[in-house]
Amino acid sequence: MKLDLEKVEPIPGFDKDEFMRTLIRELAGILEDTVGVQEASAYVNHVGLLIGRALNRDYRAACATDRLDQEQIASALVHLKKRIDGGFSIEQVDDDMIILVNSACPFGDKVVGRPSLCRMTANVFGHIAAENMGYARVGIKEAFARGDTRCRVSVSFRHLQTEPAADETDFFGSLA
Amino acid sequence: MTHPLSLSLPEVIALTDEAVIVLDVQSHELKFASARARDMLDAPAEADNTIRLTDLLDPDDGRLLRFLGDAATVSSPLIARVRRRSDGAVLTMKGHRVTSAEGDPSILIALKGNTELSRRFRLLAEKIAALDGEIVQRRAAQEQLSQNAATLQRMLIAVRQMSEIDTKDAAHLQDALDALRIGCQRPSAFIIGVEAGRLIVMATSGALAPLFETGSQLDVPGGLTHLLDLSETDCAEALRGALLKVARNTCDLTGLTVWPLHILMLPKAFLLLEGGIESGDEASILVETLSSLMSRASIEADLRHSQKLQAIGELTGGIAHDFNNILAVVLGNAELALDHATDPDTMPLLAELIGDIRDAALRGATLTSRLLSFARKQTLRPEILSLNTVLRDLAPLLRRATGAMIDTEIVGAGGLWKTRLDRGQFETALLNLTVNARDAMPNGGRLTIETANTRLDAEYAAQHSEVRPGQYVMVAVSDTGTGMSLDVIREAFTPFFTTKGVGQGSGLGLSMVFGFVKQSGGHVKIYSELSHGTAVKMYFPRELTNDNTETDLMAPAFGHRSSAQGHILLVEDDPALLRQAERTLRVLGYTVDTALSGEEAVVLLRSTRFDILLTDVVLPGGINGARLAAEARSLSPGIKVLFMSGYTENAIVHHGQLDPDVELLSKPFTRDDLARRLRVIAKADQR
Ligand SMILES: Nc1ncnc2c1ncn2[C@@H]1O[C@H](COP(=O)(O)OP(=O)(O)OP(=O)(O)O)[C@@H](O)[C@H]1O
Ligand SMILES: [Mg+2]
Repeated sequence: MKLDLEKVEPIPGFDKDEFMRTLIRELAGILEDTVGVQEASAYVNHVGLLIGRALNRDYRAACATDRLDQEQIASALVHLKKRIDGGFSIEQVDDDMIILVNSACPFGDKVVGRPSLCRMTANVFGHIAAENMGYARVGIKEAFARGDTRCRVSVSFRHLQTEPAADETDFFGSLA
Repeated sequence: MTHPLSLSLPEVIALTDEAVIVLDVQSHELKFASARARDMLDAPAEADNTIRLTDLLDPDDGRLLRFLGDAATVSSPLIARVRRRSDGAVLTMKGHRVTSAEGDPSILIALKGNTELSRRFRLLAEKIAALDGEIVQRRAAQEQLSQNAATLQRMLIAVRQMSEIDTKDAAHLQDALDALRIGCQRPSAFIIGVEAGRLIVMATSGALAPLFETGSQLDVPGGLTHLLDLSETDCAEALRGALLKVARNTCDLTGLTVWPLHILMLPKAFLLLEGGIESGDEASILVETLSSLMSRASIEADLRHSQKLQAIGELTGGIAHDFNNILAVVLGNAELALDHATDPDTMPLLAELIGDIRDAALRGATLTSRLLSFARKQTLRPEILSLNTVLRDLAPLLRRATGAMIDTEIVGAGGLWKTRLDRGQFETALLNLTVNARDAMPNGGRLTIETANTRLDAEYAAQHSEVRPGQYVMVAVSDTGTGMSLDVIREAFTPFFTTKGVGQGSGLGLSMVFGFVKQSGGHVKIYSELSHGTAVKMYFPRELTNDNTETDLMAPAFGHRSSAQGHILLVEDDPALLRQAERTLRVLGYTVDTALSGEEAVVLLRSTRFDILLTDVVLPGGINGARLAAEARSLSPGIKVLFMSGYTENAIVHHGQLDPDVELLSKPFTRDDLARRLRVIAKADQR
């Protein structure tokens, strides 16, 4: 009996996107287990920063400006998240702050217990915001990785002279 | 830990002994460095404050600066690997932006040696790499395995096909090449070899085949010998050039590789394959198969040739037998007539005419004798000889035969082994070779006849049919004459093959030599080069029994009419021959009774006492010569027996050689021959 896998529903295996997400998730898992969450986060930070830099260049070129304004940043972030995964929506945008929420993590349910991957989002968002606004504080208030039922990310532009909290990171624009 | 706890960095460091530094964001000057950090960075003494981190670490193509720039923009740590400038040791560096109470930004950096963390990373990386390697290897091995199996299968098919090829088939080489080419998956293939001295395309197969004609001659200066001296690439180049010249159309022959083909262990041809040597192994197995096929073809062709010669030999033997009987009559009667014709009152003209008849008959007898030699049916009287002695005795005759224009040298090797052969036949063979040499040197030249001890080894024997390896006495007759082409060499031993004009050559000289040598258990081989000369080498097996008897002394010739006495019973089934022999015996002085068959003879033997039984070997009816002789000895003890025969394939003669105690007279014979043999027999003590 010959089985035509193309006709089996649902199609087994991964498509390209699923494959890449799974790959990254597994790599992060191995990294955390090997070097610890702290060190792993530092690695992911670095990667997120590099990706953020590239994306910032892209969005600036697309908006034909050398500095994005608040609105443009907000729509860039949403657009970006939409392209990666459709779940993000804007909870709040004003002069001081953008808050985004997501009902599904791009990395899926396996992200639970793998908080280092949240650093990706934080750094991409933070870098783009700070590069254009001079400063940004990114907080991941709720996260699937930490067992929450959704993901909630705040990006605030007002430079308070307070120390960032444990779930917050300050970003400074390199052009400042 | 939400208490606003204000601790100075040095306090913490003093406790933990961490490698921590604080840098100026812009200048990367060290604002603070723990003792351990200084240690790790190989930094100078604490007093020196103006030191920059960038002076202590390797710039690593700008990566260090980029990292410090990035770390200055973010409050959570980034991580990177850096290298110590002093010795290149690897360190792990984590860093991020901090802001002092006064609001000044700095970079806080923690350093780790190449310890636990990087060791674990390395282990991890090594494990992953090892796994990767293993996967790649396994995949490659598996691929190789299935590829090998397929290759093996293909080759097996090709080898089987090639081994089943019938070499009698004219297209056998073509078929073999097709099988080979398909077996090793090449687009085109050629066999190039030598035929009749010319380098030719012997077979082509595949895509390029239609562009070449089989048999077309290739122009390579120096031919095969030259090609074999060249390196592989030069040889390929030379053949490629020669092929392009005979191609029907322009074509690309750049991808040809050359393989020499060994036929009977000697490189004699080339295989050309298009498409390089990805896997030399498989091709070389097929090349070897092709070589052995070609060797087999060559041996089988040889064998067919010698079988052909043998068949002609049998035919010739039969003809010679009949011819001898006829000649015997002519000769005998001519001799009798001559007796009467020389009476004083008979016309001398008659004597002359009859003399001519006898001469002609004798020539005919020589001819049939040579035919019989070729047919290997000659009656041989082998004796143990030193061929040096024979040559010495023969030298004057040979010199006379060659004439003054030819410088003849006879070189006998010292310590020459003895051999066992028929002296008379050997002399005839040598004379034939000498005459051939003379004919090949009409304007004079050098003739060398030499002897030597040699060995023919297994390898040589393998290359020549009917040769047994062992020790041989060699006699070579070499001339500096016209030489023979390959075609002539191939046919030279065939009876009646001659290149000489009508009346000049009968084409039986070499046939005689061939038959005689073979019948003596030997071997003969022609080496010749056109316009340089020819050497014919005869090999006779070494005689190992320590018999020192030299040549019998020739019995003295008998007078014309001797008055012999004795009663002879003559048995011969050919009436004409019987009558002639009877008359001859009477002339010699014997009393003769005759019988036409063995049975008749037995009847006579019962009633009469005979001194000698002279009988043909082959007789009609149930009693042949051998049986008759046995009968005679029992009926009449002390009777002497002399056999006559023109043809010796019979009960008395084994392999053309007489049983040691049998007396045989070859037909046709002269009266002198007969008289001498009867005299000798009468005197001898026969068993
Ligand atoms: N020494 C030689 N040099 C050159 N050609 C030779 C030599 N010996 C033989 N041949 C060639 O081989 C042929 C056959 O030789 P073979 O002795 O059998 O016959 P023949 O010499 O032509 O005639 P026959 O010997 O019967 O008088 C010759 O016709 C000649 O072409
Ligand atoms: Mg001759």
